[in-house]
Amino acid sequence: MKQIMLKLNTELFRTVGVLVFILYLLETLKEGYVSFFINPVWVLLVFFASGAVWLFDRG
Amino acid sequence: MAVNNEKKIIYIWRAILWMAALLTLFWLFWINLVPTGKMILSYQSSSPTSPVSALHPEERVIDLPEDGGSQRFFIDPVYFDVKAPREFDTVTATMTWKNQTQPILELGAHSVRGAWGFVMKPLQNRIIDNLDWGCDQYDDVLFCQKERRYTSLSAFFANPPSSGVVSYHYVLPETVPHDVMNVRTDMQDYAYLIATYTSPAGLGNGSYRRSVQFDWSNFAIHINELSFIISAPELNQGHGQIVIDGIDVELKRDPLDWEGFAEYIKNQARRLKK
Repeated sequence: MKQIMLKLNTELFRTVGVLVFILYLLETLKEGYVSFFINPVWVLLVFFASGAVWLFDRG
Repeated sequence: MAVNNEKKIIYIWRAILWMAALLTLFWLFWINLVPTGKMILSYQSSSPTSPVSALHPEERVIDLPEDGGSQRFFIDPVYFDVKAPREFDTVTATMTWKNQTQPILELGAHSVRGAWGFVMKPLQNRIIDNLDWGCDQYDDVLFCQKERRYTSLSAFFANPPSSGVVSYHYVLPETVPHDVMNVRTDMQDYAYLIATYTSPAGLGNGSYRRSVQFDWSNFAIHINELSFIISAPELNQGHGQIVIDGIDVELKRDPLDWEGFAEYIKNQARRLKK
C-alpha cells in the first residue's frame, strides 16, 4: 500500500511540477494572467509537499 | 495480478492529474478571454487576490472595527485600482457610500499615466440635491432656475442672462458668463444652474448608490490595471468622513465571435513582442 501511495505521489509531483512551470511562465509573460483568478502559490505548495515526499522516499 | 492492478491505478491517477492540469489551463485561457463580454469585479476586503484594491494611500483611511468590510476615509483624494484581464469598451463603477456632510463627491478615471490627469464624474452633489429651485431634467442635463424666467434650456441659450449662472460638469459657451461650482459655492449668489447630474439613489441609513460609466479610453492602463480617484474636496475641513460600503466594477465589450477571437490572439502576440 505504501509503495503504491509513493508512486501516486511521484505522479502528482511530476504533473504539478509541469503545471507550476506553465502557470509561472504565463504569469511572467502577462502579469495577472493567472493571479487575477487563482493564487499560484497554492499549486507551488502542492509541488513542494509532493516533492518533499518524493525526495525522502528516494533517500 | 496485483502488479497489473497497481499499474491500472497509476495510469488512471496519471490520466486524472493530466486532465485536471489541462482543464485548469483551459479554464484560465477561457476566463481571460471573457467570451460573454461582461465581467463584474468587486472589492473583497481582506482578500489578497481581490480584483479591486483597497483605498490608498493608507494614511487617509481609517480602519474602524464597526465598519466591517467598509472603508472610511477622512482626507481627499483617495485612489483604488482594478485589475482587468483584457481590453473592454466600457467601465461602469457602482459605488455605495455614506456621506456625512461632504458637499461634492466625485469619481474619476486616471487618464494620464505618471501625471495628474483624470476624467471626473459626479457621484453626489449635496448643493444641488438640497436646492429648492424649480428644475427641468433633459436626459442627464439639469436646468434649475431660482425664479422661472425661461420656459426651457433652449430659451435660456437663445437669450442668456448677463450674470448669476453657475455650471457643474457642463461646458457652457464662452458667450454665457458663468462660474463653475465648487464646494464653497453659495447658491444665494446665483439664479441659474446648468449641470450634468442626476442624484444618487438613497438606500436609507444615510447610504447612497450610483453607477458611473467611463469609456475604456478614459483610462491610462498600466500593467492591466485601471486607476480610479475618489475626490471629496476639502473633506478634512469639517465635512466629516466618507464610508465606502461597496465598489463593483462592470467591464463590458461585445460578446466574443471568431473575428474577436483572432483579434485577441493577435493582441496577445503583440504584447509578447513588447
